[in-house]
Amino acid sequence: MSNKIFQILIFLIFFSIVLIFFLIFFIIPRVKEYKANRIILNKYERFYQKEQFNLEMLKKKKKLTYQKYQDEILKYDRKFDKKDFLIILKKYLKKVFIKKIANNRYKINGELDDISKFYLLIDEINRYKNIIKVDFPVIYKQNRASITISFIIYIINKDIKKRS
Amino acid sequence: MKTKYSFITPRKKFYIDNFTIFATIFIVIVSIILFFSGLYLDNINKSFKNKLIDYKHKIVALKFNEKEINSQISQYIDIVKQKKRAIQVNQSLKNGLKNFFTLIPDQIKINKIYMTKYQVKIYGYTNNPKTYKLLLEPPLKSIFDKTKVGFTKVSKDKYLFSSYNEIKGIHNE
Repeated sequence: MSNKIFQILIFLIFFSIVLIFFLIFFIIPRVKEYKANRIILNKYERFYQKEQFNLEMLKKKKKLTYQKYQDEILKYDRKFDKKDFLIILKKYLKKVFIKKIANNRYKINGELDDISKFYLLIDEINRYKNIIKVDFPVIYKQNRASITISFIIYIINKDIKKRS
Repeated sequence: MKTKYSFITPRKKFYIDNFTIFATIFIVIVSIILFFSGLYLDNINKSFKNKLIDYKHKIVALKFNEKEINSQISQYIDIVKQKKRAIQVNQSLKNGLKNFFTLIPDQIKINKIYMTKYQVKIYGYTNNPKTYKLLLEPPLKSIFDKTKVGFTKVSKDKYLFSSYNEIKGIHNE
């Protein structure tokens, strides 16, 4: 009988050694690693979700900004059509001459009966399908029958960025 | 004939008894279970690490997208600013010219105006320098920081003038 108890005791000791060995060197380090990874992963998950939300908000903001300024953006994206602009110029100026002097820069010469037509031309330029800035020098010459005017226009569109 | 000392046949005896066999099997099974649990945890940890790398890549991509969208939004706003600025410049040029022509009295006839961002050169005729000094010079002086004028007599009551006007202090703008 005592032999049996001794046998059970030996078994229990041996079993405990095996169990402790596995737990200390095999299971516990992995569980610790699992816990640490879980914490980091949760942190990243939350951060990712936050960033995703931010991105969605930004997309909405971009859409709204585009809708709000669509007219300006389309004007900016549109290529400058010299022939089309010449039609506008001819409505106000006579003997019009348009010459490209640099990238996006054109020199315009023309004649007009009355300086008020130049003011009307500037208003039309402000409404034109491209963003155009009337630039200096502006040269005004009074002739006997007419006025000669010369000025520079600067086209503000996406081609400016392509060059830089 | 072999001599028998017992009436029963002896049962077969094992070197290792049943308890030891069961105990060993039990320990081996428990060890296997623990070993595979460890491997399973290892796999989970590996998949966590892969997920972590995946998240890192996704976050980098999101940040890149955010940067792109932000730059597009600021580009849109910049376009609007540029358009406003262009209209403002055009409008101020128009108003400047309009105002300038209202300054010119009937006694003075303008031949040519050369206008740059900070300078205006005016060429014309006046019946006498005093008329210019009385009627045109004061408003020009109120607008520009520097005003110079030169006269050339053309005939008895006709003087050719060339006026140079400049706005100082904003050249380096």
